[in-house]
Amino acid sequence: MDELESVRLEIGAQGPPPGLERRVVDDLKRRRLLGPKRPALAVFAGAALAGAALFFAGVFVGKSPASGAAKPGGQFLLLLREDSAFDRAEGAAHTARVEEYRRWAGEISRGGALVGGAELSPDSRDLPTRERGRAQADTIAGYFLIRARSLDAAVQLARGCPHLRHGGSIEVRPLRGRDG
Amino acid sequence: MMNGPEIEPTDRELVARVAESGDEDAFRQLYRRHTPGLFRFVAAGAGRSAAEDLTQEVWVRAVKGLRRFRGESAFKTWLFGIAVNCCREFVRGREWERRVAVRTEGEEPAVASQRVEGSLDLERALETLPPGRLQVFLLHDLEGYTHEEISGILDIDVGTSKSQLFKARAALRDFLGASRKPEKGAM
Repeated sequence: MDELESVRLEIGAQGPPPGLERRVVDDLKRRRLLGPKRPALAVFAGAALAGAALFFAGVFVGKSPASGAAKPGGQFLLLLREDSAFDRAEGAAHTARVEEYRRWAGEISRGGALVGGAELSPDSRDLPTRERGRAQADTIAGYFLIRARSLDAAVQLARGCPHLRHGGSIEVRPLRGRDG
Repeated sequence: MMNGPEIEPTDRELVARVAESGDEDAFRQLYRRHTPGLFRFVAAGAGRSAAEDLTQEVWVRAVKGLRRFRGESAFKTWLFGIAVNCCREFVRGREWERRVAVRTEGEEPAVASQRVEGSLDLERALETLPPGRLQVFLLHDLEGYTHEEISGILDIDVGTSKSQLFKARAALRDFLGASRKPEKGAM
């Protein structure tokens, strides 16, 4: 038999072990890459946004206890932006950062102000198409949707968001035609 | 009720289901379809002991990046592109460990000896090939890619792919021919 043929046969005989499929699937689920996708407004979830490095995780907000009662005012979108000035954290500092966002989301949720929120995946596409690899000076890394009596009140709430303490910025935008 | 032949979903359909809704069943179909070849490639390119971890890493990177898969090439080609990068990173890391260990301790580190100890002629033969030649050989002779496809996966010219394959085959023949010849005087 030709030497190369024996190489092909030897390599060809190497198969993946049966347990690998379960291991890969479990890993993907743990990373939340497989399994039912959660509705964006039901959760403000996610760990670091890979690449964008925003540190939100595991904050279930859903409908707040006070959400059934209509309030005067409206809804506001808090767009969480970050650029090169954003202070990214890793390791233990990252865990602490996650807890900070979690606490803040929990506080405004208990006050009935939180409607929802979501992380934004870094896998985005631009229209018209931009050149790949073009550096983005400013990225929207996530958002909160809140209700407040006025734009000033919404801004006041946003001031408490830990995102600002770490060099991020927040754009507060009223939603048209959406009463609180 | 009609009992027509079941139509297998295409890779592209499965990819869309995984990307849009995290469909586990669709992922498992993709996994079962492509992992045998992927595992062979990784095991031959980076060593059997690292193959499981690297195969897992390839799938994690692939699923993370599914939205970037634009369908310009076959899914398998795209997947093997990721595998090539994983193997390159792994091999670079191993070489680095080997150099550092040699420099600090003056002897071959475990990472190098582990691979050779008890391994087959085959593994030693593959280790003698530069990574580029090895990848071309595996993709062409094991996985059946054309030189045009390999050119896309490895980002090299078609002519380079052909010459790398020629050199890889010659080197493997030489190595295996020499190592498998019975020694003089042996029984």
